[in-house]
Amino acid sequence: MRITSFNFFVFLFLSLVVFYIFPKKYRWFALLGISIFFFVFSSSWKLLLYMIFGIVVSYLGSNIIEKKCKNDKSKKIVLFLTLFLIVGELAILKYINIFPATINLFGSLFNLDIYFNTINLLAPLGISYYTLSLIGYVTDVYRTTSKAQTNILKHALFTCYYPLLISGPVVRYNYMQREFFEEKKLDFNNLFIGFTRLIYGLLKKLVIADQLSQVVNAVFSNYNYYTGWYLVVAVILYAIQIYADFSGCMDIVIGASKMYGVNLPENFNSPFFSKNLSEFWRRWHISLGTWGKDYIMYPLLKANIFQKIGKKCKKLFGKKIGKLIPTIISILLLWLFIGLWHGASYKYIFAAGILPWIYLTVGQIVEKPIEKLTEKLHIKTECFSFRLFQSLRTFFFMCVIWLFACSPSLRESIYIIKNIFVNASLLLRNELPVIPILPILFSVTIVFIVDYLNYKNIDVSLKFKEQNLIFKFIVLFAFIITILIYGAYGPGYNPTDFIYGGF
Amino acid sequence: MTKEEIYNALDEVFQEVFDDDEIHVNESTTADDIEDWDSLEHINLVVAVENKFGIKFNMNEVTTMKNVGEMVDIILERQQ
Repeated sequence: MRITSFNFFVFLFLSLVVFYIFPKKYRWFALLGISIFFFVFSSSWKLLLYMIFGIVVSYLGSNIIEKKCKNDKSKKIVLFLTLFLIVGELAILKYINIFPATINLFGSLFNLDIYFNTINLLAPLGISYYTLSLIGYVTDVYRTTSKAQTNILKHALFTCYYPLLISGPVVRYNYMQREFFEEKKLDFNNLFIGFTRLIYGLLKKLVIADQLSQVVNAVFSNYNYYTGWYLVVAVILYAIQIYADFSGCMDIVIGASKMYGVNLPENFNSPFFSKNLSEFWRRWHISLGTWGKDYIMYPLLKANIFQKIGKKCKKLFGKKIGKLIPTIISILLLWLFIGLWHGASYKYIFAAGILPWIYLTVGQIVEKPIEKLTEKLHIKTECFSFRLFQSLRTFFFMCVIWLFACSPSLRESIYIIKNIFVNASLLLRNELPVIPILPILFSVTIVFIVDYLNYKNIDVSLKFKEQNLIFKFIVLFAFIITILIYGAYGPGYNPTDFIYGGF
Repeated sequence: MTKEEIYNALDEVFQEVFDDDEIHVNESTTADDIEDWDSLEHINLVVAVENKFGIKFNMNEVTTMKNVGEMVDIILERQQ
């Protein structure tokens, strides 16, 4: 069931009726039933078994760690075994193809006559997201930051809560526990704010992302034809598309969840206003970044081996560089993980792993010298023009990443880069799909304003809540009309999956 | 070690980690007060403190301690 479809709205309405009919104390139980129904309706009973495996393993693991293990060594063994089983399931279902892909890559590099077919195993909805949440939960129980959940049904809700299955966010157990199990009262404000947020997400997805995707796809599937500026514009449009797609999806799920009275954490915080790339990644897919920091990077940096590397490097290269090297290695491992998480292909390992790592490493090395240089040249850094330059610079570097990410493969992205420097006739634009430019511009402007206010720490949702009811209805009505008239849906359009839903 | 001795020893650790002899910490010092104290430097700092006092922080403490005062409380607790 697509969350942009009419079916979803029927489902949402009926599920809300069921949810609020249930006694307050047992509404979490209704959410579990609703989530299982959504899962089965969207995929199948068979795939539910994979999810049940993850639920049971993490439930048993966390409870054994907390209640049965007497010392740290036995706790560690159970932790590793539990993580091995949870990660193993994800690896088999989603990453088995990295082996044939590696062999095929070497085959094509050395002109060998070998080719292995890839295997298409069906993975349950949301496995990439809920696996990370489960890893975090079991680790937190080991670290004694979380209490193990003794009720397996409550634990199951944490894993299969349906708004989290489409594209995350990756959630923390302590936070979600409060949200799920506090008594939920029927609150008109929650329903209205949630619904408006959902509609705002649909505007981003159907009017911006899915409309732009037609042009982006047309250009990238004919990159030998649409060369030069067409490719440059297509990458910029792809940047807007991917943001509208992913953040729009987050608005829909956060909005839908709010209607049940469950607040989900934000996953975006106006990324396009970032001064530099490290700030960008603190504002883009926030839940994945903080998860990686807490469960991969910090433990690595604190590990004995990294401390030893640091000491050796300090002796060899001096204090400053010596300190930097373990950090750079841990950032590399973190980003390789993030690249691999995006998909079992070298395209993602490079675009979403190695390239960001290179950016951040170079950024760390040149940060101080550039600061000194700007000071020497008396360049004002606190004015609008310099801030604009910083945001555009960040946007440019991200566009390079997205160019690789949206190309069919690493090899083809090289051709695309070459073709950027080949001129193409302006007349070709007449052959591109026709999209409603003004409504798209209107929607992009709204997103820009909302994001700018958010960047300035103005709580847009709160401000909206404070307005007169008539104004709120006008805004909602304007969004709905724009979506109904200009949204990319219905006959003549291929419904597009959420980009991050595929990761 | 008394609280005062711990703060003096922490001054040395902070000065060493952040390369700044002017740093003096008190119980309300936070990452906002020291320019280079970001999330990466935080880990280096924690490890340096562990080595200085011969103790271990767990990951929960590493990620949740809010100021130097909380760090000192943990050090005192471990030393007992």
